Amino acid sequence: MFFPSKNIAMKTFLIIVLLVLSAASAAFSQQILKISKAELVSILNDPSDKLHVIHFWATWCGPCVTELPEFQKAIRESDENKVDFRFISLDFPSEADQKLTSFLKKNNYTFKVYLTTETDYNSWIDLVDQGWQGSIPATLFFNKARKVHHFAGEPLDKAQLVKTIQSLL
Amino acid sequence: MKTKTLIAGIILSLFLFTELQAQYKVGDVVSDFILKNTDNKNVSLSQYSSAKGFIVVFTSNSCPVAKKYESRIEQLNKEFGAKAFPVIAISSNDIAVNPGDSFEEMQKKAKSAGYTFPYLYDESQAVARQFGATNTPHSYVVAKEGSRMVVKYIGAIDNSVDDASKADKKYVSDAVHSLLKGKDPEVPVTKAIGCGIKWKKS
Repeated sequence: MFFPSKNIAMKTFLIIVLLVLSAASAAFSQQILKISKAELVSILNDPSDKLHVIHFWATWCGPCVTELPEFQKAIRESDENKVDFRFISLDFPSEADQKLTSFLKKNNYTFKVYLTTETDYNSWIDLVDQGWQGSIPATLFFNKARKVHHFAGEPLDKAQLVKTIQSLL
Repeated sequence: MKTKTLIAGIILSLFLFTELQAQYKVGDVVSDFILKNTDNKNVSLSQYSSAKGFIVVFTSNSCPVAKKYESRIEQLNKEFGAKAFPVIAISSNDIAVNPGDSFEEMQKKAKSAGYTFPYLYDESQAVARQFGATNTPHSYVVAKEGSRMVVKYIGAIDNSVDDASKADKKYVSDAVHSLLKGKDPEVPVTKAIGCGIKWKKS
């Protein structure tokens, strides 16, 4: 009687440990999601009355890395019911898993990052904005329901971000 | 007389304005330029009297996307230099922002990578502005038509930055192949993700 119960206690303990570990890893791995061209197009065509902020960046892009903390601050000051931030990484697929994961972990970024799976960039750059030549960082603000479309092809700081968002809400 | 001076002034300023704003589109005529190569010699397009055209690539030592294309740019010159379409590489970044793009660093890169093409330093950024280059790498294929140099293709080198072997659209190569056959490129303009050219603060 003694041994089985100890066994059960041990098993329960192990199961709990495993559950906690898997939950933690799931929470972490959720940070990097994949986004296809079709999914991007569907977001760009979202008819709901919501301001979308899509930010294009990569860990290899110096100005992007400098700019990200500004976005983190702007998110904190924004009403998540009204503004939907989305971070699309253009990291190279061969390096993304390693570089992007460790980068996000190191900086404690809590926002979700989507890695683009369509690397034929020419096939979708114009869908984001006709004037975009493809340099990053780049940010698109839009609300289809209100015919709002604003593209920023240069780095932004928190004040600029908050101001732009306020003016478009 | 005053009116004439005024009109002349307006015409001149319009001319200067358009010169400064010149951002080439496909079909535009390219003005020649003179820039210093990593061997300290000046290079201009008109020096290449037997060239049928050029592959002009705005690139950079420091941009990770440009680095990905380094060997592909070299291959383009190996293949098309022999067919009278040599590569002319130009670095235009403000070195105050990117010290890795200084002339000395360009010299080191040209040597270590064994570049067989000129790697020109666009210190004033005038040539990047003249072309309307915005990214690195940003390529322009130009072809000689009589005495004029005409823009035939603007954009990406191919459609796979990360892995050259996965590129199934080799835009620059295809454009030059078409031009060698006397035809305009089927895809005259593309866009690519890249590093923005670092402009000097005016």
